[in-house]
Amino acid sequence: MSGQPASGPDAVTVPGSEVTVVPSPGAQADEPFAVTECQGGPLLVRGDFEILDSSGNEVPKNRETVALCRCAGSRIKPWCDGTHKLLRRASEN
Amino acid sequence: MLVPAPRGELTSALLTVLQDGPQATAEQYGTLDGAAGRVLDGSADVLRDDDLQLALFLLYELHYSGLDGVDADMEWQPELIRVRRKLEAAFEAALRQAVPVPAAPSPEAEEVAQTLFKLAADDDGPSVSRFVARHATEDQLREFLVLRSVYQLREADPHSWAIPRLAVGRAKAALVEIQADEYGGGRPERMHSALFARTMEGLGLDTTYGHYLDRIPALVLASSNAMSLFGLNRRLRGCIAGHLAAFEMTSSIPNSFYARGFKRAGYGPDVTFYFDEHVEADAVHEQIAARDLAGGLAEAEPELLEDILFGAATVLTLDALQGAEQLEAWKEGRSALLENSPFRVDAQALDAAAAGAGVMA
Repeated sequence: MSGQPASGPDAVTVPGSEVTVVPSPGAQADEPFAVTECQGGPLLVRGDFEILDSSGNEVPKNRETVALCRCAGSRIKPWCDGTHKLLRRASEN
Repeated sequence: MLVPAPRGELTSALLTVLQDGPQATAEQYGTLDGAAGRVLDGSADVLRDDDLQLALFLLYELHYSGLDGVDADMEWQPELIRVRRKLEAAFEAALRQAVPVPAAPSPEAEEVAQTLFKLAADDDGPSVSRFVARHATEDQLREFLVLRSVYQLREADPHSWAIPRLAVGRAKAALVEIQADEYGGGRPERMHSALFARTMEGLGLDTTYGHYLDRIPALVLASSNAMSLFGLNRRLRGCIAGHLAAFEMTSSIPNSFYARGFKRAGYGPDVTFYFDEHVEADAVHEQIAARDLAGGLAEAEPELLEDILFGAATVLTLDALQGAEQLEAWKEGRSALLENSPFRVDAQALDAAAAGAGVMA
């Protein structure tokens, strides 16, 4: 499914950044949000959603579409900061 | 934009015509045309030709916010469009000669995305960002901002030309998604151009557009001109899509280094917020630009794939050329900006800024 938006799950837990994506309270659509697994990179999330940390607290978003870290290497978790590209390069050398 | 000083016979003739506006004479246009011909015939290096790159920059500026005191209707003056097209043809030919383009994958979004990510990852151009992180002096940090300000004070505008030039579909939706974020998502104070201005102000720099133009080298103008060339010609919509993808891919990690450099020099969040914001934003944008914009466009119009790759590779080539020039100057203890020459008026820029900045070192 890499690169293709997945159909609307109820909740998606993201290993690497220890957060869960859930529909916003009162979200109307059948598929309130869409996730895209970026090959070798983050999880891209679009739509009507909230991000909850491991204690269930909402993490404030700075933008509509977000990229969640899946490599665990980001310095700004849960957000991606491109570090997976450096990790991949290091593992190839 | 503030009107700069000319850099040779072409920009002298052009500025005369622009200032005279509707009163400009056929003789003046003749002089301009002759100058354009001579510059094109005599230019050994189009990308580093100050007179040519400034002329192109001024002609494009007519389509952005215009030049102070110049009649807005000059934007569509047929003689100026004709001269622009002559300069553009030479510029595009020089780029196509200078830029190595990777082999094209099949026109599928994920394949195109991976090809672009690999192109950016394999880039071994000189690293201005690492130098900024570790070594840049106070003056060099200021020069860094001045050089970037040509694009960053109007960040996102050149790529917006592509919005109406793309058909309804995945690529257009992706471009608008990225641009909305660039323009602050409806919050003017979060527009990336406004954030950059705040950073410049933190170092005592003037954010009036064009204030430092007289000290901007040709290669920096060439980078800006490449975006306008790609954005303003529908024929080149593949190039502008690829350009944005590579632009975003070469942004997140360098911006974390820039932030480090300014923090090292003692600057606080008011100055570094711009860079921190780009670390997060561009990690989102690069995924959208690679897969949905560039990849989506390649799927919809496979004949554009070569230009998508060329546009992306242009970012890396021009960054490498300009970065090498900038680092060479800095490592030799020189300014990376142009010296004031007899052709140029003193912009009084950096000295005044340095005196008025009053910041910690």
